[in-house]
Amino acid sequence: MKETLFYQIRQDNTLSVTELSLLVRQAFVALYPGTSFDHDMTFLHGSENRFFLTRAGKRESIAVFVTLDELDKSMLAGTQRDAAAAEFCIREARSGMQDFLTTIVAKKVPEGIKKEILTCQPGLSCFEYLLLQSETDEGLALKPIEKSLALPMAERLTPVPAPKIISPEVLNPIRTSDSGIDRRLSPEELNALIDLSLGLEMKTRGVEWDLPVTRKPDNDA
Amino acid sequence: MNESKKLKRGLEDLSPLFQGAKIPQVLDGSDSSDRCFTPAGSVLAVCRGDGSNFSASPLLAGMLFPQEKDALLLTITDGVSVPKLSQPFGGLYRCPLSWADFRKLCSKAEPRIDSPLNLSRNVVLDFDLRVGFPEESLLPLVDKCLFWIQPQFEHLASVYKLIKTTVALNPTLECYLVYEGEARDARGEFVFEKLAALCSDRLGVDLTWLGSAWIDDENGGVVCDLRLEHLWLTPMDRSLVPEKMQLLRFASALPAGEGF
Repeated sequence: MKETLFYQIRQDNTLSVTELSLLVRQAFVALYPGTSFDHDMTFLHGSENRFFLTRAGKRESIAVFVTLDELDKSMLAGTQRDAAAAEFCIREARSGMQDFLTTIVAKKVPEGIKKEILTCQPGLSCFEYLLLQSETDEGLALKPIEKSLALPMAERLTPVPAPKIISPEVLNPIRTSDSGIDRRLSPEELNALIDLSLGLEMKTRGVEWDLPVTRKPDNDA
Repeated sequence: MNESKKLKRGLEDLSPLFQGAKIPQVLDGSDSSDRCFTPAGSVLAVCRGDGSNFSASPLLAGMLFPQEKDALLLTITDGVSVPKLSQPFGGLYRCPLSWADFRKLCSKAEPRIDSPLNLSRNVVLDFDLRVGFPEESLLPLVDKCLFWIQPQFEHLASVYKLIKTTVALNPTLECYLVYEGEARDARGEFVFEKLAALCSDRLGVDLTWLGSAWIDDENGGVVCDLRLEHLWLTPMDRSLVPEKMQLLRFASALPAGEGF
């Protein structure tokens, strides 16, 4: 199976990394009901999400998302001399120097992996992009799309309103407090809540869904 | 998870045949019938995922406590629009206090109110978390907290964070979950089971299921299918924070019918 690499250059109206994860997982679940998906979220080198599909007892990496924003300077700083250079890289990346981005990230990605630049374009969300990608990429077309679950093609191509952005207050400490309590969610807690949210979404759509609350340890990363 | 706190399933859960003619209760703040046993000396609070209390505190207080002598509904008014005159909810009157006055009331430095040691009243705290009260001062006072949750990621994450913070500040807190939706919505129990498992695994906290509640636009009230008796199932392991004892003493000493 091919591994698809997406880059999202974060802009004011684009998805947060968590919302992106949520949407991608919703897309996978809609496309391949009954299969098991999980993903890793790594914040050490930028915000990186690696998605896994488990079928016939085998766990395969199927997609990697990398989000670049102001908080992800460490990723670029790791490949450059200092933070000032990282600032320059981000600024240049935002001005459209995608080749530069490819160069930077290619250092981390093994050869042979398909790389694509995904910028959030008006009218085409990451979610829709993935749905379209799944139809044209044989590697992702594991099972026929459940018509009752997947969006009609016309709807996919129709410009959609900008997705609702999850408030930073949800993802980060809600309020400043003198209590010294760390309110941030660990990646495991975030994963479990995303699982729960997806389960709710599936129940709303009448699909039986039961992901374990505790994610299995990742042995493939 | 504590066995006694797991979701209870009985015959009525297996088939509608066993449910009889159960009708969800519509609350408009005036009904004071069918109360359950309510011991005195507890501090209760309601927390919603978005920080607002959804007018749930007064309604819940009116439902739980039939007479003014049973409880004091204390509204911290900072950031909340509260009518100047006290309002009755069930048998209770709303007692508004500013945060500064509330702190003064609970302060150890204040002269102790001459009240009997026997605590005869409960306190229902009514506040809006969005105002940004110092939680380390407020949350340790609460014995039982009802978390109201909606089936949305933001609410789930927010309530989980609230629970995480609250139990860190108040390890003896009893946590209850109310699903904000219709009673027949199966997602309510799904949310409870998953969230309870997560809280148990990650935080070591037991959640107790209270049921569902939702706004009835037609009848102008809140429709509840709540098992409020679950609030009193377990013996209370109350922390004896001096400020809380002062608050309960004050509530017990306040003559019924006077309010503020």
